[in-house]
Amino acid sequence: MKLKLTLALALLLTSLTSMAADLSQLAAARTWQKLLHMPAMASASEIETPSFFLAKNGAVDAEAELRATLRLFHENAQQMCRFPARAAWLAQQQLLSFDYRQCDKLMQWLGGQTPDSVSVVFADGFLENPASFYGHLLIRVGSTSDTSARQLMANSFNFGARVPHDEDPVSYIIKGLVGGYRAAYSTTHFYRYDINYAEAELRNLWNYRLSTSPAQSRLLIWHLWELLQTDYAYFFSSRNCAYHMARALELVTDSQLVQSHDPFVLPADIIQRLNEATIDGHAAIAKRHLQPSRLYQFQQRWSQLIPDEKALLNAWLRNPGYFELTDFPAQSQQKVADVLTDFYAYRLHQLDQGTPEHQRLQREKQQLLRQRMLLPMTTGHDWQLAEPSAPESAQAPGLLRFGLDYTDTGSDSATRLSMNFRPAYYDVLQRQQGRLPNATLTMAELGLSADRNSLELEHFWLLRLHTLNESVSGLPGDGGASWGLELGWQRDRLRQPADDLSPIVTASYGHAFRIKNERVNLSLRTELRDPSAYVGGILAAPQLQWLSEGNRWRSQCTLRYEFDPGSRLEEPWYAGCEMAWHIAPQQDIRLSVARQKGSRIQLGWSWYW
Amino acid sequence: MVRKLAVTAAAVLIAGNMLAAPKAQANAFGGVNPWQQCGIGAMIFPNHGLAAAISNIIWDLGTTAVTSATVSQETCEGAGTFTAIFVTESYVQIEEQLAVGDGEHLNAMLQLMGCTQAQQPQAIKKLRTDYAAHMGTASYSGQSQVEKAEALYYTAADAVAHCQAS
Repeated sequence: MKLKLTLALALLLTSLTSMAADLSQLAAARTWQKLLHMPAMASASEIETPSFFLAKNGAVDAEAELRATLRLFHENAQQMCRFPARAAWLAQQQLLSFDYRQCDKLMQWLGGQTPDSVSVVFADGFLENPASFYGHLLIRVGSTSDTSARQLMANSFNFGARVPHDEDPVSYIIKGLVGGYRAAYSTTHFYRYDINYAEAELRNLWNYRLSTSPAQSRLLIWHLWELLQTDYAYFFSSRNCAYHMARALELVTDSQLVQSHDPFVLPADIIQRLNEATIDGHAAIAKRHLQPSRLYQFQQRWSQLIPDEKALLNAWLRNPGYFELTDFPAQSQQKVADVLTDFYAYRLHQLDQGTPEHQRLQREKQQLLRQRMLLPMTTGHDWQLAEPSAPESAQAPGLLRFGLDYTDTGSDSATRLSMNFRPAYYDVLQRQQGRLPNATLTMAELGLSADRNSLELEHFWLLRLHTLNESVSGLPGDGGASWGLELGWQRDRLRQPADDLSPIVTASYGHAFRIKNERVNLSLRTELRDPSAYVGGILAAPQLQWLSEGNRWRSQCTLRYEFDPGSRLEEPWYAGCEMAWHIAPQQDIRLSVARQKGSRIQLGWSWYW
Repeated sequence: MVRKLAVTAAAVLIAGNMLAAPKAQANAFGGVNPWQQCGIGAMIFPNHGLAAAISNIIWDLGTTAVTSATVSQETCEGAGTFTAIFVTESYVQIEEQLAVGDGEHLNAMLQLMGCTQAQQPQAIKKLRTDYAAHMGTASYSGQSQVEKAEALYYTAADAVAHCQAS
């Protein structure tokens, strides 16, 4: 009897010891730690919501959290529905059994969909809202058996700051930069994002289907579902949608996509990293698909109209109330009606509701659609959609440039070494792949120069934003404008001999158009600056810019005449040209020449990282 | 099943007299008008445009705001109400696709109404004719998007019921 008891105790002890060892091992598994958002080598979770953890010290002790999770799940199986990813993973480890179909809320949310795939959706940058300059990421739940209509209904995840509706722009920027907002994951049907991004904001949506297995896809979806109960401090440049979406995606990728200390994390970066990442040793992205914005679709279709059809379209727009499409061949009628529909759709989103122009276009669209409904259904014409270069083909966002800088201020000349650095994002002379075309968008750009005696700050641009948005069709709302905004400090070596660093704000607005292959911008530029003995506090200038490109180069020349109300400026004419030779995927050589009162020649080698 | 019943009931009640039968239309949702009593219009278009409303609310399937004391939350959360929300929010796309005769929003609406893929061409054909007639009425251009969506919904329900019956 004694022997039996001893043996039983020994067996129990062995079993408990072995289970404890197993649990320690399981708690150290990367997948478990990823489920808790504990980055490799980190001592604590990045999840800031205490209720996400079941153990008191669960945020810092993965094993305690594992034990608490198992305890809770065994006590109350329904709790697995609150943490379906944890439950699914523990079921894979054969520690319990879990069937997501027992979870009512989850099933209601799925709405009949059987998810077995996941796509990451990248929305192109949107220059009308600073928070959207760098694009946006969504994650879309998919099923291989989905029809296209069903895909429209698919659930999708978003991550964003909770910004009060009436927040003023200054608070918005400051709070966004310093962590003044809370942010959270949210979910809704994909069609709503499609309306918001592709229709209203006219941004292309890039769908990247991941190469996850059905089980991996579900694990990721369940995990995102779990994350709906968490929230975070929001930092525009680092702890943003890109960062938190990437952290969720790391659950299935073989390597990390972001680092905790990354000062800048951009949505396009995540797409590039995902493009280089693997899932179980295979390329993480299985398939890419473009969902065009309404404006891009219009431009594409417009380009496919023959001259007679373009004339027909313009005739309709000149006199929509009295023009009959039926006077033309059937296929032309249908093609023109399609393109006109796209025109009205994007234009109505650009205009404020309730304005006379909006109401007029709404009436015209109504007439058009009614006429179209009376035409046969099929067009017999397949519109082609040329895909612009994809976001992952873009150069890396960081810049480091070294060069030589020769300056002649009129009274003095010097040659100095120069260094430029910026964490993000791109300028108009870089390779155009994967970027908004003919645009500059840089943040925190630092320029230094040095000679044997001194090291000087040449400039520090908080923001530089320019866009030369040429029109494809010439119709209203389809480009045709150029605008720019610069904010920072700059040492002015061209206008004055005393080259003090001055705070500067510039703004420009004008007309962008094309002459053959050259892009031209005629604009009015205003500059506000710290006045000196040589330059007034405000300068206004009509400006001509000329942008050219070849196979592996781009150049831009600028000519302007500056009016200084203070009459301190000695030389009002500014002329300058800059050229970039794209010598390698992540490198270029820059040469720039500029002249006003003084003159400057710069030569540099750029590396994008 | 509930959805099919709702659609069928709507179709039977409003056939041939869509615009002049508000009471019959309400029966499509078991005596409820989701646009008026579940707050669809107010929720989707509070004071701003559709896009602004969409970007600022976190949405769950069938979430609605009951705006009538006679209607229960449960009634407002039915699948039929979701279809009503979808049609209202996607009205612009559905109307355009209806003009062409094809499109994923149009197909999605018909699918939600219980129209099979095989039945869709017939339903679309009828819906185009009926809705073109509605667009020609004097009242159409004065309607808000919510009102147009409501009319489109019932016209579509009628077209679906018609092709299901044939």
